[in-house]
Amino acid sequence: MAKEYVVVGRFHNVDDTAKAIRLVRGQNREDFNLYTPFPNHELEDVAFEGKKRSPVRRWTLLGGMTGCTGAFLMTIWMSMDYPLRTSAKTVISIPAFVIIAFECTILLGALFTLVGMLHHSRVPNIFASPGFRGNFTKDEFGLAVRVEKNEADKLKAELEKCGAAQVEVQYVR
Amino acid sequence: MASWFPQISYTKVDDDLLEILEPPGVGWFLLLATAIGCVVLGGYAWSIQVREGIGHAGITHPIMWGVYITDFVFWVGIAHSGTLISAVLFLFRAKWRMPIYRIAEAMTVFAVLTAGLFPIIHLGRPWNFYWLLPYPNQRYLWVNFRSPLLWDVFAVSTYLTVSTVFFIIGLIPDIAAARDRATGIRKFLYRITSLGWTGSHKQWRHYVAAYGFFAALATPLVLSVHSVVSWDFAMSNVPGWHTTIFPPYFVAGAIFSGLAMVITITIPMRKAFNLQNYLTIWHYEKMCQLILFTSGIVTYAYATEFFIAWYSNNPFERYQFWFRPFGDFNVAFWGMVFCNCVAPLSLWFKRLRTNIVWLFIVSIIINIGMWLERFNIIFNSLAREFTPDAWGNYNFSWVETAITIGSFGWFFMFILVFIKVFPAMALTEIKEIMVPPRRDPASAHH
Repeated sequence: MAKEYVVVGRFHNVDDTAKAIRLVRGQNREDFNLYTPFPNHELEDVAFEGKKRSPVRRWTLLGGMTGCTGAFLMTIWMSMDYPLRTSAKTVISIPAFVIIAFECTILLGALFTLVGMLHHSRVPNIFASPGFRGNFTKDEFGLAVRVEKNEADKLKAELEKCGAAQVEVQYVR
Repeated sequence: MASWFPQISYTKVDDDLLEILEPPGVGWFLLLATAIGCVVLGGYAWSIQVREGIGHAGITHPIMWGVYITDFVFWVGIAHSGTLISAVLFLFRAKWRMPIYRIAEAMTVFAVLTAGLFPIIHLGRPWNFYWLLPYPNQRYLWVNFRSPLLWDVFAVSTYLTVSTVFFIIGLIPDIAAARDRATGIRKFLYRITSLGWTGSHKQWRHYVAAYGFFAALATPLVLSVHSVVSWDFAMSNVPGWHTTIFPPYFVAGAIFSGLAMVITITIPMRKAFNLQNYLTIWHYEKMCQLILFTSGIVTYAYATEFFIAWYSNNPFERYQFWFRPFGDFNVAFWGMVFCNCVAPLSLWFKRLRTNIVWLFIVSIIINIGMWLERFNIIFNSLAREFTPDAWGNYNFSWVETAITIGSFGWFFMFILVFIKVFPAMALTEIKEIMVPPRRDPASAHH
């Protein structure tokens, strides 16, 4: 059966939110979104327990290496393409090229990090996120869990028991 | 909760800080009109220079780097404290950066945008500025990668790109917060610029990782950019320029002037938008500590230059450092010493550094001093190079003065528009350092 419903719990404190996440994960429900107005390490630890770190770091490494290699290749190739000796320096002046390579390492490292972050965060996103409420960027913590129709009422009661200030069931088909 | 503001709710933080985005008053429009007026004046002056030639600037032999390069170095310097506050202090987990880092980052981006104009304005044929990019120009000659001027192109453009990315990424969650409270056209604008941000745990996970990497990448970058700018001078053999102390001296000077500019901008902002709970005296004292530290480094560097000129026994260096305090431009030299070395000493006194009016005055004095520092480096050294037959003087023109005034208008125009369009204080990070709400409030810990 398709998971056509989202149960949205709105919480006013970290302890109740953490308790609700543990409950949901304890039921092997991984199709959930936790919304917070700011990054909270305590809640992140509960939500990501047993999961791998963000892969964004690989993008940074790839970008940095690409920038560094590309800059050396560019400077060396362009200097060789039209060899012109200036100020008694060698045509391939590695110390001078290191500065260009450094800047390109940082530049592409940052741009790749940006691409990696956007890609993994799924932004830009023009579609409304089911379960998201405006107050989740303000002062509330939200937990939105996708469930099948016959599970919605049970989960709603459980989230209320965890201390949710309000629980809504939303049809998202 | 950090010790610097009272326990308030997240809602109150949003209400206070998003109020800055409310429709502006007459004062804001007057300031914006003044800024745009300065830009128009500068643009008019530049149009004359473009139409009739670079002779309209005061640039003449032997001072071929005049006011424009002074302005360039000044604005690149102003750009530095933004990344220092946003990246370096982020890595050190300095909580006092939170309320000021957004405006400092904005300052960085707009100051680099301003600085980037000057190498182009300085060109006799500005429409050929793209010859600095690595492409095979006439006769298939590539650019000279051994030239510090080309390093500058790479350093400043990288700095602009990375600072802009860092700035925009930091803004996204706050724009989302503004979106969820806005109505009408503003909601539409914020819906687009927030990129659909919801603050889900999956988004935060990658955001926090990326933000750390941006900070780690921006930190060496901020040190490198002004080092590269200093090499524009230090790589030559001109007396007064050819010295290894330039990179650290330029970096310290840049942070010094940038912090002063943060104070210059935030003090009126604090008053206009009633931000006394967020921008407290404690924050200004922290900035004063850094200003005192960097002022000390700059003063030490000035003294070292004189010592090395004497100790090297090089007659050209010795003459150069005699010419600075006693030559044709000695007013600029003593003005620099007063503004950068003497005036900041007043901040050692708690009564003065906690006096907002005095702090505002000192911040302006420091900015004047740092412009004079670049003036001294460029004008004195070029006016008195090696052989007396190549010595010369300078005639200032109204065109370069108008363009300099225009650059200030250009910078403040962006700042004024920014604080009314996007959140100028970081809501998210201020909330992050507050003690989160607990089921049992007594269990809340610092």
